[in-house]
Amino acid sequence: MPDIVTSDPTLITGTETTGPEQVTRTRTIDDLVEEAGLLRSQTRLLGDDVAETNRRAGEVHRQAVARQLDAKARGLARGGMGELLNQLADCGFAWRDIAALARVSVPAVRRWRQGETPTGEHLLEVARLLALVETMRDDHLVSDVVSWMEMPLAYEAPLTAIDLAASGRLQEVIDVAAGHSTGEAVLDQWQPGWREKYRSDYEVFEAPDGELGTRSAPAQGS
Amino acid sequence: MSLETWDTPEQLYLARGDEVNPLRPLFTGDVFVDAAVPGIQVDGMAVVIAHPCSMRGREARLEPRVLTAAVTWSDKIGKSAWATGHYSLMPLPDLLEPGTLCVARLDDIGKALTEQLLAGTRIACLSPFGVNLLQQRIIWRLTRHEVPTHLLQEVSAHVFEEADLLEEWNDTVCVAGASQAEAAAAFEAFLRADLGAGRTLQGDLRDQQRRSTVRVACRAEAKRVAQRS
Repeated sequence: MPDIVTSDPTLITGTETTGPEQVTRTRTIDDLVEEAGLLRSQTRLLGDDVAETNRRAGEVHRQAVARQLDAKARGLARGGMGELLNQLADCGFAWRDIAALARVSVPAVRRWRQGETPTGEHLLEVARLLALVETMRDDHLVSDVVSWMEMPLAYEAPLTAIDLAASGRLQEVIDVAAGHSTGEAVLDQWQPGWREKYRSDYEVFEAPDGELGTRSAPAQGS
Repeated sequence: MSLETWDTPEQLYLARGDEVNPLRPLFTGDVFVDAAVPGIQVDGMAVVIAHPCSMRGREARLEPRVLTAAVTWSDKIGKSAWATGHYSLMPLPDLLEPGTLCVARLDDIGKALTEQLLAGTRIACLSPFGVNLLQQRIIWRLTRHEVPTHLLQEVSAHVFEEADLLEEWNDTVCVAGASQAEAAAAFEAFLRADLGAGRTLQGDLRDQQRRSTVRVACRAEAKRVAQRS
């Protein structure tokens, strides 16, 4: 059975009491609007501060990642182009993607495979790619890096992390792998208007002969 | 309506001149000299425009003839003009010399003898983007239907991949002494082998996420075949 004394909120059971609130005047609707507006301004400014701090932290992080990749790449480059290419091939990279990432032609990569000596700049570019792979595998636990890099960054566009890396944005690749950013957010920065550019009313399908073809996509919701 | 163009001529080509690998399989977008195109020319340059899937028959053997378009020199045409005009042509900038223009004439087409093409000189191979652009212009020319190149890429990505893998296979296996025909046959057998439940490596190439695994498998097998040769 509940204690009738302590359960009665109208009774004062302790020794400490609070005085009655001093009300000088009744707040009007104008006061409330002003106070609420002030609160919104404060939270907006706070939000802006957080966003700016996040942006700066992102910049610092990306710069640090770039330096880390560079340092790793310089170490890896000591093994020579043949060793670098062997390791990238073992990961499953296509030669055409390695060429795009190193900003050379596919035949140039073929000549390196056959023993031609690359320039120092190209050696470092290829070593940077291997450094990226190692960073994603070791620091961000991406088990099959090439397969991950060949996935579209967003459902609505065919652009992949390979394309992103080939455009020199290695740090953004790490950002997505680490979960600091999303594929969509990175695409918004890199290729504004990508949604419009890659919007299509067509889809790829398997034709009766077993080969792929294109056809009108069913309307949304049908 | 606006057909796509290119940023730099290099984007259109996989290889040109001496850089063309003779061990690369015949493919859409290959440009040859001394090519006879029936009804069009007895000699001159031509580009293969047949779709990769229609160039090969049973057991991936090349058809006796493949569809080609005549290629000629052209006066200079500005890059921006290609987006909204010159629909009967495919631009081939810097094909032979920097700063010059050749064009594929998309109305001047015919089935060239495959044997004759293979015995001739291949002077360029278009890149996947170059092939997609060629197909985009052919489709527009024939049907007035504009298909974005990224959609064409999605349809053909696995066949581009297969051609690249066969070229790499040949680089490894033919150097060890196998003929190109033997190497191609071994490659086909390996790629089409049943992995269980009807799955094949060739089928896996259609899945973007499995391509890297197929590449690793092909590279390892090519080394094994080369060691046995």
